[in-house]
Amino acid sequence: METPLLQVVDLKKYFPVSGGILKAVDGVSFSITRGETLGLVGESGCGKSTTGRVILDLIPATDGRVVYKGTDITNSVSRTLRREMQIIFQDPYSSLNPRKTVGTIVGEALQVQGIGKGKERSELILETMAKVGLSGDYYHRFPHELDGGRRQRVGIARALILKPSFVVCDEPVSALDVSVQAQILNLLQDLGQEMGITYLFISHDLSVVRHLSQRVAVMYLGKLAELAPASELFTNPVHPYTKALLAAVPVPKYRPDRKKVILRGDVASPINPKPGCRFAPRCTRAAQVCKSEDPVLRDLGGGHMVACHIA
Amino acid sequence: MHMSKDLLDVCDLSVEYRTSDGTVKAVNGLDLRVGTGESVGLVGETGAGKTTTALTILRLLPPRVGFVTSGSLKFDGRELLELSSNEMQSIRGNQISMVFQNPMTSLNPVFTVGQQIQGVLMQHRHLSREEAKKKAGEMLEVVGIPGRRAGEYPHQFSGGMRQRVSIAIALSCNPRLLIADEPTTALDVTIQAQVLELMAELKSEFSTSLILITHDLGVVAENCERVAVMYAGTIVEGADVKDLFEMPLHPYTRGLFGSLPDLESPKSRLTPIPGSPPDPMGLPRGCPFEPRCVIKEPRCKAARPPLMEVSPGHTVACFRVNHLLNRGGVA
Ligand SMILES: Nc1ncnc2c1ncn2[C@@H]1O[C@H](COP(=O)(O)OP(=O)(O)OP(=O)(O)O)[C@@H](O)[C@H]1O
Ligand SMILES: Nc1ncnc2c1ncn2[C@@H]1O[C@H](COP(=O)(O)OP(=O)(O)O)[C@@H](O)[C@H]1O
Ligand SMILES: [Mg+2]
Ligand SMILES: [Mg+2]
Repeated sequence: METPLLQVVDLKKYFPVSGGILKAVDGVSFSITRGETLGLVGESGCGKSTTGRVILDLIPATDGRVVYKGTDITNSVSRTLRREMQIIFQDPYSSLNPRKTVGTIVGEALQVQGIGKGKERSELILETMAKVGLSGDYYHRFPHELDGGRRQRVGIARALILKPSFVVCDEPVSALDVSVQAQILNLLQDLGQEMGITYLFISHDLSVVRHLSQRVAVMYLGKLAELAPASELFTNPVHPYTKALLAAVPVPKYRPDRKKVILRGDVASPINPKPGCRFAPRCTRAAQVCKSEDPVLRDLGGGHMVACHIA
Repeated sequence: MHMSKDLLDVCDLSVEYRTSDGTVKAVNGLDLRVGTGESVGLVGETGAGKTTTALTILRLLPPRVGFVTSGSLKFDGRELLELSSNEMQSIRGNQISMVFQNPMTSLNPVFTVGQQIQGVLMQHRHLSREEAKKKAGEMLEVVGIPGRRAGEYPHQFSGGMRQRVSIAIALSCNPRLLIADEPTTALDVTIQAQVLELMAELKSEFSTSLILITHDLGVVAENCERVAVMYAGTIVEGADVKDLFEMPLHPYTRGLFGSLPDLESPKSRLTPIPGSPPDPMGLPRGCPFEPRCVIKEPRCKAARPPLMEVSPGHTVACFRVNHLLNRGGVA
């Protein structure tokens, strides 16, 4: 088998907080092959963004390894490597510097990396803007003068100007309305294919993740619950949490007989988590072993992985 | 024409915000009816005017900025726009209550959740302190929070619990109409499911009418009997859920369906609506959707299409409605 573009091995990120230790990411492992889109889903606070940030070395890992093209890059992403690894953020409102023009924002990485100058640089900026569907008229505008969809295009242009091979998309369409969201999803899909980009696509929206990803990882309280090829995960979920999550998504179709399985309780705190399966307190099938032992991610065959004692 | 059994009848409502930057035409000739015990989903994208509509019904528009420029708002036959502020005060909370998107804006951080429910009960239902306290505990239990937690403050609760507390407050006076403005938008799907289930139970128990404001068509499909689709301050299509989801007609409604990724049978590609919604400071004279419409004609630019009934209970504001009907309604 081809070596994966990216491997994440037992990755951990702990934050010391007043109440103890907050285990935001607690032993996550997966790999992404070249050209693939891996979706990462889960509810608020489960550690998706933290995972993405640690991989890109925007924040240091507590433990574990990140291997990129066969090289260990944990906590050591160099400036040259940064060109290849980029991130697109959720909030096109707060992630763009309000005092800089669109052209400056899009060209920031060129400046940091010392690539091109003067006319050459501005041409590259305009070319990238065109690629994401932004007319050159916006070059001297400020982010607040743009609507949400165009602002997100600026965020995409900024991430793609150096032609990266790996991009973390952290909820890139969550702040957008559906009609505009679809434009951005198509754009990400097209550019990904055209430029051969490998994506880690983070979202809490399962429909969006299914639409774009070849494989999907489901995260719960800092750990992976299940990971499988997209069609397999959505048609044959095995983990009780994945099942509950899928059942809870409201479907925009007239289906008066759709059965709702409603999960009780709230997500527990990630501060000083109790031993055992993180989902056990809400799981209707939890057995004794679930409360004492952490389930490990095991392969059910065909790349379908699950971390559950009873599934 | 229409029957008087409607609990709420909003007719030709227009609202604008007059700001130093100019006039925002937030609601433009909106018609909306809600029957007794009925649940209506009001869907639309950011800026469509959903919240403004809700605030206008409750007469809570920001003073000196928000103005009703036309229309009428009949609640149980009474014109709300003509009531004095005292009369309105007694309707608010008692007969019509509202749940907001962010529960922290409606909950007071310095009072315990029990005190807040108690306060509403004493003010609107004139219960004694002791009675109100007992009832507050019961209301918490109704929304699935142990009554013994009445002494805790909002920040000690999770987002889903806070939203359930706001629902308890909104329902504690047994209102006839509940307006819920994106009540679950800030919540995770599993928690959203809990909150929506709770609203549905309470609604059927108290036969409350409901306006559920959301941008999520899935939430509407599963929780409402009727749907009104809002665009640029006006209703472009209204129908029973079944009709709207099985035979959407307005090009905007169809555009929304084309834009949505499908969880069950993935599409290889989405069909977005081109462009973006119009600037409410400079709305087009004709159909507000014309600039983005794929089936527009010259007349769509010249005048605004009225909402027309094309089959019983199904209304559409589009000059090309016959073309749409002939093609069948599959999005
Ligand atoms: N700098 C930090 N200090 C302390 N705790 C943090 C920090 N950053 C994140 N956390 C905590 O780590 C956990 C995971 O956060 P993270 O932002 O990764 O979640 P997420 O899955 O991206 O959630 P969302 O869907 O809300 O974006 C949360 O409990 C969060 O509060
Ligand atoms: N207090 C206000 N002052 C000025 N403009 C406002 C105010 N509140 C809302 N608006 C504007 O009115 C329009 C409708 O807004 P709103 O009713 O909040 O829409 P929705 O709830 O559908 O997102 C938007 O263009 C919005 O920017
Ligand atoms: Mg996040
Ligand atoms: Mg709103």
